[in-house]
Amino acid sequence: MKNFIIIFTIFLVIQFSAQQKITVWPKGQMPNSKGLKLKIEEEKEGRITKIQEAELFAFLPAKEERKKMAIIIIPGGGYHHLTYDLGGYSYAKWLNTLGISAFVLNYRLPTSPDLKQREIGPLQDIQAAIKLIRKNASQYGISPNQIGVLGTSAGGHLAAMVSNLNDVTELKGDLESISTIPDFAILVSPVIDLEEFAHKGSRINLLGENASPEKIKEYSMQNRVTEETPTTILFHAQNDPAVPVINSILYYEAMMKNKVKGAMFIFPEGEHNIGIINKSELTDNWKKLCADWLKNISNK
Amino acid sequence: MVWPRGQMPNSKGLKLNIEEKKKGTITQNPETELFAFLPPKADRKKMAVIIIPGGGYYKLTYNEGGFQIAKWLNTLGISAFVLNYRLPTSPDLIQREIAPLQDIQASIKYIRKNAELYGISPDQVGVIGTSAGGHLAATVSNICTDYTELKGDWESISTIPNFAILISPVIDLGEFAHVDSRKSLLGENASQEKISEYSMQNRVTEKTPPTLLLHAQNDKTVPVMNSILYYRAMTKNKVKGSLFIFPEGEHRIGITNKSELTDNWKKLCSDWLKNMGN
Repeated sequence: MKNFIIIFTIFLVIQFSAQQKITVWPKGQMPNSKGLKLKIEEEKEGRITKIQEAELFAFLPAKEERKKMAIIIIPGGGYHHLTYDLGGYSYAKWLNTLGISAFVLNYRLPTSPDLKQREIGPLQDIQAAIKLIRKNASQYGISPNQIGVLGTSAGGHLAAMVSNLNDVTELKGDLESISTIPDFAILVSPVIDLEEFAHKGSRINLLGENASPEKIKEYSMQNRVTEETPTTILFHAQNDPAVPVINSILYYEAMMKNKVKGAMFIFPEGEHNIGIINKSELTDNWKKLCADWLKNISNK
Repeated sequence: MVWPRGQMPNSKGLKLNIEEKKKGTITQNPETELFAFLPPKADRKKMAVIIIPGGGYYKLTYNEGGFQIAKWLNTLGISAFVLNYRLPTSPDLIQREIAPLQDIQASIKYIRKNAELYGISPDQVGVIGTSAGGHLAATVSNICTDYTELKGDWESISTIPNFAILISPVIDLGEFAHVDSRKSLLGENASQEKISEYSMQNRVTEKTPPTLLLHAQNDKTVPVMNSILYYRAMTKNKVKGSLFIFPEGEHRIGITNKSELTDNWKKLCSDWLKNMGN
């Protein structure tokens, strides 16, 4: 029995050293909190439903293979939970194989009882995360001007939000002047529209049951694209039963109208599961497309 | 030769010569022709694709937009037929806008009729069209009326392809039109009704065959909205397919591409065709 415990402990340690946990907010500066003490709740393995504060998990490639680029991965889960493993760690490991540093963001969910204003909680967290990574770029051996975001599903909505909305972090001091806008965005099966083509669960969790039409419009990201929106690549499956493919199309059309450079790849299959492993060989090409796109960005 | 002798419709019977202003670009084509590119028997699959070159409906870029694609398809074991169709600008035509459609419809019938001879399947006959050729590929995908006037054992053969691949296609002839294509196809003063009728996003139905669209965002000749409009119509009508938009590639997505990212279209297309073949 004792031997078993020792082996188990070693196993845990090895698991842990693959990534490094970072607190996003400087002590005492996390905004929009009632100061409640919450425990992390994981309703099933790989699916967190409640966290106390935003956390980043750093995945760094070997020093020799590390490029200047870093990507913050925003897991999805309909703004109700965080699929941090399938929609987070998996992508991080894949990016590491390309020499790209990855940081998985576990953000405060808008359903948290600790939030004063539910809909800006996730946005504040990703904005603070971008500032933090940019501030500490040299420590990681990366460039503060090659910081992108990758979001899946509702995480894609949050990636689009941080691409288009103003700084609401309330951070002061040397963090204040650091931009919250990523240098590029990768949206995988993203939630974009909260009106006609909405993933209803995401809308209700983000804005509550009785959001006004104005609020819904404001948080439908195709309405927020401007010429300043960073370059963006979108992936979607036509047979996605959860988030209709028109979400990506609406965002891309808004990009076109505003002369934002980018790409969009819509596959016939892949459902709401475009990921690191895909059943369809055709859909599996998204990784090659994404890697080639990232190469172009780092050359600019 | 596509048409059985003496059965080419929509002709005034003028004697015209082929005009090739520069190598690889035909500007006058009095009679429809197909050029067959067949893979070696041992490599040959059941699938065949008719390639429809572009050129704004006033010329045929049969080499770059035809033969090159045919050779690439042969490397996948797919038989290819490059179609040089009659251009709507030809003085020999009685009704300009239906001539290209008649020619591709007759070609599909011809390939299906002779499928066995080529060792292919009549149920795996697709079309690839680039630019205005993409408009013609979309036209033959959606217009159910058979304009060929062919009789006998030809009559019952379907003109609708089993799948379509549209590269930098002209789709809309209205707001997002490639104006030269519209003028060549419909003439200078086409009515609003005619323009709407020949804007292919308006013609998609649940019967439209599966379609793959490829476009570059920086295409200055045919705006990428053309492909988006068609894909939206497909999605609305539950037509299965893909839309791939690359940031670069301009109006020249082809067999060789400057951008490594854009060059992936061939892998995407061949994987998509594998699904069609199953």
